[in-house]
Amino acid sequence: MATYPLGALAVARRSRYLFQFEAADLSLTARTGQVGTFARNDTQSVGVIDSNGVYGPALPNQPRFIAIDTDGDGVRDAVALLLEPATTNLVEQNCTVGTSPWTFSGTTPTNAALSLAGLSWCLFTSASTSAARQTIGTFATAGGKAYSFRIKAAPNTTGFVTGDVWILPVFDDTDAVARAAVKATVAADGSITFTSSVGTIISAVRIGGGAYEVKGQSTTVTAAHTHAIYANDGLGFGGTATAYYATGFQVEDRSDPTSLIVTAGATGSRLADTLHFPFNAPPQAMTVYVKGIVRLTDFTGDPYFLDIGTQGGAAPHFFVYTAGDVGEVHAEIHNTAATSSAVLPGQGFGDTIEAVGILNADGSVSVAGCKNGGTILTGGASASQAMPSAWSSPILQLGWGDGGAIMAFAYQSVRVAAGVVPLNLMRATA
Amino acid sequence: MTIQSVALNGVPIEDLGLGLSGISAWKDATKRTYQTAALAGGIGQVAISAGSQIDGRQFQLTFAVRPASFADRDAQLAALVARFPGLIEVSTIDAPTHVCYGLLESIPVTSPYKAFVTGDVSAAVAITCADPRYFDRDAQLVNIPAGTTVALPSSPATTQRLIITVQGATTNPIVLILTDQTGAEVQRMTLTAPSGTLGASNWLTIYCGKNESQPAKTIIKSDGTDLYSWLGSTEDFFTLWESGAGTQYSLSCAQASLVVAMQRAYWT
Repeated sequence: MATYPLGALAVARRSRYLFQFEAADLSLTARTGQVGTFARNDTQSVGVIDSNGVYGPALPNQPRFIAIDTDGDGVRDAVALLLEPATTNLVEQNCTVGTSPWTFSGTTPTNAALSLAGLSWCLFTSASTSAARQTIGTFATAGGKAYSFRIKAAPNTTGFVTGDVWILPVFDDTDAVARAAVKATVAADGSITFTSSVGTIISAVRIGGGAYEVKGQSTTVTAAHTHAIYANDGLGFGGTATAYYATGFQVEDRSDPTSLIVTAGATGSRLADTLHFPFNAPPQAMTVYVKGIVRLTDFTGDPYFLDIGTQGGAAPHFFVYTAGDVGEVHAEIHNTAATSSAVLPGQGFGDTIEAVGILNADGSVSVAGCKNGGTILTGGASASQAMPSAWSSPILQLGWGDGGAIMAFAYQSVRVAAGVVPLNLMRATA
Repeated sequence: MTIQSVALNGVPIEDLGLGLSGISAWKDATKRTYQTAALAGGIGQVAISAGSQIDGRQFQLTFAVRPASFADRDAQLAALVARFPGLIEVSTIDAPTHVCYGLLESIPVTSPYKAFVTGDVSAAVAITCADPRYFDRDAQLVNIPAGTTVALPSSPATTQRLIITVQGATTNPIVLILTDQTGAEVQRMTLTAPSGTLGASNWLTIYCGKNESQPAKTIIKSDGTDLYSWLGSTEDFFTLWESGAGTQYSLSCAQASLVVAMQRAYWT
């Protein structure tokens, strides 16, 4: 049998895409060879969250690959690269509640009582007759404010200490009223259910060692008022559980909660995660595909999933972004004109989104979007225009947005294919 | 995106407009060949190897093509071939999160009738997987803080599908130690920088075995530099050998925090 010589044995990377980044590779070198440039520059953001829900150490400029439960079955089934905007955790000593500036009524919590899930935990004893609070001051703006905390049931001789624990992440001292109040109800098996009596719980997920991570948003605050956080309000709201563990308290002057920033004797800040790759393919009919998990509820400011061209929006550039408060997916090109196409999958915090932007051969753009593997929605082509001869800069930027609106998104896949390719075929992994 | 029968590259074949009429070899434990010898005075052959050569897996997926016309038949068959441009990731409804990787070998097309009387044909797609194992579609992530020993997920079949990131800053050399369930060291990788150390804001990605993104056995710095030369000349990349139930590998590194992505392997 004759064989047709097709060239040397191919042993290098193979991809049919112009660009392909997969978070599961744990590398910022794309499968198509482009080397990503990444920066964050803080030393306090917790790192990788692994499949067991264990936080990695806070290390500067290390990309944060996280395992996420995408279908709510308790199994962290997807690996994604987390990119987030700049933020500040307004809570000092957020893992050491037994330390000033926390103040106490009743029993002072014990610092470092437990090491679990990569964090140091405080033990709250006599919790139902004690309180722990910290003044966090004023906010720059009004609106709902993001909070998060981590909590675990305390064991006793028969199982776990049961009852209710009250945590008030945002409390308006001026008006003496809670803007966020969470009741954690501990069952005999150590499981905890969460009820928000004020504000909204955005997510409550298991982390390592039977602990939980709770993220939420307060009701609208009056920015100029002085606010506080209660890590325990057994005195005021009347908790019934006598003991529990908690750590990682966080309040941010923004609407959506981001990942944990560990603080000591001052507030802790994080610069935005930035990541861009070289992208030398010239403008042509092409399809870009982004898949990942949304970490926003408020899309004001049009944060971008992806932008091909100069960071900052100089034309010509082609980008896929979200818009408005309702979670639309847009594809847009700026060249001789600015034209866009949109669909409305109605994405929210925790949803898996597939966003596709298509640059057609006539210079128009189309879009497709899919939420949680459901129906694929497609948007019609925009007006045609001349195809650009070159991008404003040969880069592909993730997590960027106009006007400082940085996307908070856990990227699983970013793929760019030549030609017009339907969304379902962009799911192909090679 | 629910798999009803078979998915190719993560896309159910039904979503590709294909109908499956037959499948074989998808659940085979493929043939093992042992070294044997005839011993004097013995009966028959004696196996003299502990291990075995294990054959690859060849999927046979038969699709019924029912075109509207002969021209449509031509178009449908051309589209079918176009579904297999390179590496194919095959999964089935039996275990939707396990995938086997292969390449198109052939697509014999046969007609059950007179070929030019009716357009109906069967297309038998043969996909050869040189490695017969299925792997986790999504990797298991494990954090290993510096100076701690952390268990890796147990894999039912031998696997080298480990991606290890070494997070700076580190001291030199970087020593990764693999131990078994008794705590005994079974393998180590020593990475020595010719000068200086791996600084903060840098990291290494070690690919112990072939996956779909990188050649096997590479060490890549965060700026894309190949650092294979850092590995000790007498050392090799980690392999988690199948040793039966109860086998438990753990990994540690005193000099740096590690993050491991591991795809467990399965024989069927």
